[in-house]
Amino acid sequence: MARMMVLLWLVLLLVLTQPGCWDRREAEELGIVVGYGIEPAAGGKVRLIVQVINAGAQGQGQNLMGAAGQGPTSIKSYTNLVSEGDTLFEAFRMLSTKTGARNIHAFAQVVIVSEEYAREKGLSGILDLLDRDPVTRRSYWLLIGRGDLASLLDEPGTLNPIPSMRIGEILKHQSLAAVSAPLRLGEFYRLMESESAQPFTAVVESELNQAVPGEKGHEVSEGSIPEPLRQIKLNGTAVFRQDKMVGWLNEKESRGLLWLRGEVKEGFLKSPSPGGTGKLFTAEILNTKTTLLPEIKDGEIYLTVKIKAETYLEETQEPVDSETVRLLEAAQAGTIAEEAGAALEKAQQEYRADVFGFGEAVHRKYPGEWKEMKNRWPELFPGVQVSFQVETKMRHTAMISDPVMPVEK
Amino acid sequence: MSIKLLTRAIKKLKKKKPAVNAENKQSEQWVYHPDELKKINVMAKLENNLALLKNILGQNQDVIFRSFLLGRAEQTAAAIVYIEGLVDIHVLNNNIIRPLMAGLRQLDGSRAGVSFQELLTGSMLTVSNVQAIRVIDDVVAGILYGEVILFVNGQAQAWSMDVRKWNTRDITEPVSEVLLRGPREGFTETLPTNTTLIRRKIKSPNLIFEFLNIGRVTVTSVSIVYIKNITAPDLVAEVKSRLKRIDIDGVLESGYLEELIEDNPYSPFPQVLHTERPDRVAAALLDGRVAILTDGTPFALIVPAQLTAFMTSPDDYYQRYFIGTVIIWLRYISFVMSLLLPSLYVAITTFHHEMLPLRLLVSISSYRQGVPFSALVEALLLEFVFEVLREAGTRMPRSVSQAVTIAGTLVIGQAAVMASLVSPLMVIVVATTGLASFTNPSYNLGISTRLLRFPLMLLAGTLGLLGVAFGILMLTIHLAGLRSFGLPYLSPLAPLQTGDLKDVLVRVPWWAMKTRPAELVKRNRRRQAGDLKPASPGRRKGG
Repeated sequence: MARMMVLLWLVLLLVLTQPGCWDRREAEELGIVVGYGIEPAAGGKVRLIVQVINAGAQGQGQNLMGAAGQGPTSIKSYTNLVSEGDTLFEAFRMLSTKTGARNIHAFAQVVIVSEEYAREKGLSGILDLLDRDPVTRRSYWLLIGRGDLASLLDEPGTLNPIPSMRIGEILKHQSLAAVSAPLRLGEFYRLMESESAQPFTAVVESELNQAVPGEKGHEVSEGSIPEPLRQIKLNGTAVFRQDKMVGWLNEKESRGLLWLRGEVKEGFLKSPSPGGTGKLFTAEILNTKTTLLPEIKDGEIYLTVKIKAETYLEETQEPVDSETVRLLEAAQAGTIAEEAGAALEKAQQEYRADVFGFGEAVHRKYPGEWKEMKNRWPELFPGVQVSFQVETKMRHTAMISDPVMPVEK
Repeated sequence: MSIKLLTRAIKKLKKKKPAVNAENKQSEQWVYHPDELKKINVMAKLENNLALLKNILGQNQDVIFRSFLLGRAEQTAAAIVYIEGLVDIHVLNNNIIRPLMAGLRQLDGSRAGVSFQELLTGSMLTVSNVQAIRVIDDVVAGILYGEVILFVNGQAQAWSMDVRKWNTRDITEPVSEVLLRGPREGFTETLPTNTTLIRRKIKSPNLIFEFLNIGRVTVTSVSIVYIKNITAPDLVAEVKSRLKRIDIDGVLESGYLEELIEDNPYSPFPQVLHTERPDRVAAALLDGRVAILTDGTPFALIVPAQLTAFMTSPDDYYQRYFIGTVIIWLRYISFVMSLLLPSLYVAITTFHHEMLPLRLLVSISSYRQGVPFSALVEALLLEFVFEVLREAGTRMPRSVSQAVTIAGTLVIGQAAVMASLVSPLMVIVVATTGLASFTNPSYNLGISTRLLRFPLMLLAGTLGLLGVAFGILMLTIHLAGLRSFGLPYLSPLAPLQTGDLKDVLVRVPWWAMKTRPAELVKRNRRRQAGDLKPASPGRRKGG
């Protein structure tokens, strides 16, 4: 027994001392990566921008969310590191010539690829590394960035000063509007590698901030931070054919894409009032269901899209009663069909990219026929005859029934 | 041989008579040796007895020899021997010396048909406990024990009378086990008081106290307590045999016995429960356990004791069962925290950053800027200082310990952080660990977690969570193999006794506490009558 114990302690000692601590990294040595920007560089190279949290700045009376005691003079809470390389991995490793921190990639929120790069080179050159490397994750959001990424990833903000994290927060809540369709890397890979669908993802850009005071003489009070001149915004959806970006859907068309994919979970629905007065009413979407029903008849592919949506009234300028609710429902259905039709028009005819997953629906229903169709699907897709059956239900009119309107006197 | 010794002793005494000078006295003394004295009987001649006793005990100034004459004609010499301070002097004067000297004219031994022995014990000594003894060793032991010994010339026996009385501590609330609800009495240092306290709680003829003396020199009374018709007989036999095996010079505290009877002396985990509370002992006895009371200490031992027994407090059974259950779980969580929290913190912040929420990681990273030590060194340093503070606070008088607390809070809590020696998060971790360890009702289990924390921290700092997992694995293997008086240490969890989980996973209400632990008790397992679940009058079963 005693000999066993001694042996055990010796083994323990060996185990503890021999392998050393190769994996040991103290928390303060870390470079916590929150976002990547990828754009083309001169000479066919790729430029990588890595956004790293500056934890030292966090300690000085600030926190991640912002800004107790933050002034223009204080240290920025993040650092953008830039490097270039012929391959993405080269660019990653060349970073270590510029920073002493050990980067950890587990917490990154977004991979932003510039539109230019996505249109010209395609994403396959960079996505392989992100999928292959064990430290990167499939849960990163993939976004297409418009304009100069270095400035996009450096847009100041006061509520959440780190741009990548700000974008991450925006993506978390974008479904409240549901006017763009972002994808995580994993889902993007799936669509890209599928024979029966094409990938897409949201576009992010910066726009002028309307909150900046325009009037002269409106001075910023002393000590406070002025509103930043530009702000980050999601703007529609990029459409891909294979790994190359081929087009862009605006907000209405993006919503249509979501309708066709059955991915509208919440959001607003704005339709013309049925009275023909030119006024609008807006409803909140409660839940939706989309069913794709393909049919092959005489060598032609027909597809019926059934969309069911439940809403409730949020805003109107005309009186509502049980009769007019029926009319509102019909108007809503029309809007949905219009949105979906707009997306279909763009993607099917103009970009010829099956971002809706029609091919998947056909594959599921006609697995036998699909075998011969799958190679020709890019040619077949534009010829699919699509019809809509939209049904909506307005469940209630929220807190009040009559609109808030002045009485006619 | 014994006769030889005896005559030698008497001769020596006679030679030096009457005044023994101090220089020689030392060398002349008989060294007390029980084996020799067991062979010597009380002699008929008073003079010889006293001479022998004086030789053995005479150097002790607190041994009183009181000689007097008995009977009407005052022709019979007698003497009493006792130790001053151990006997009740009033009882001695009024109930022993007075009847012997003044009240008894019959003591000539002439009354027909009545022996001297009967006369003495039957109508003279008005004390309750009188025993005739014949062996000198018993005489000596009795004197040292606090009995009064009476010798009468011409009688080849002595009488020992138990009139012990000495100053004792009052029964007070136990300091080491404070309860919100429950009896406020605790054991004292006096064994008879302690047995009384238990006897007052369990008034059953089956409650057995068995006494034995342990300690060659100290001759400490130890009592084995159990309930005859509940406790497994082989458990009692095992306890007895383990106690009887002990041959040591002294037992000053039950801790001596604990270390001499536990199953695995190398384990960091305690295998014997100790308590100051009679109610806890009574509850353990009703569970079928055995208690060991030791004279001279208020701490009783309870065996067998498994891990979960150390995590319960009598409170759990006095409060309503909801809170009892919640508090048991709070303790389990605290136990794990006090064992693992620093090592988990070290492992995760140096090896597994991905496991942390981003904001927490940034916060840790920012607060560690400027801290010169690695997380492991930081943790070891702070834990060490915390242990120092804790020890200082325990040993110091209360007035000083306050100063210790203030110094600790200021130096550790504030200055060390401001000087960037440690990060505030580490202070939080160490303080939380300390707090968690205080929730443990058993101090001795707390000690083992305190000790094991350090190797676990080293493992965490070198191998990360892998090391922690390794450490936990080793501990689990050790715990699974550990036994306390044959009872598996992890029972009733491993081996699983589903019926006994009623004390472990939850504290079930008393009306559902139907049986005693199956691991301990094989017969007489039912605690209570059929269905005791209370209900309002309309809903009672069977009207």
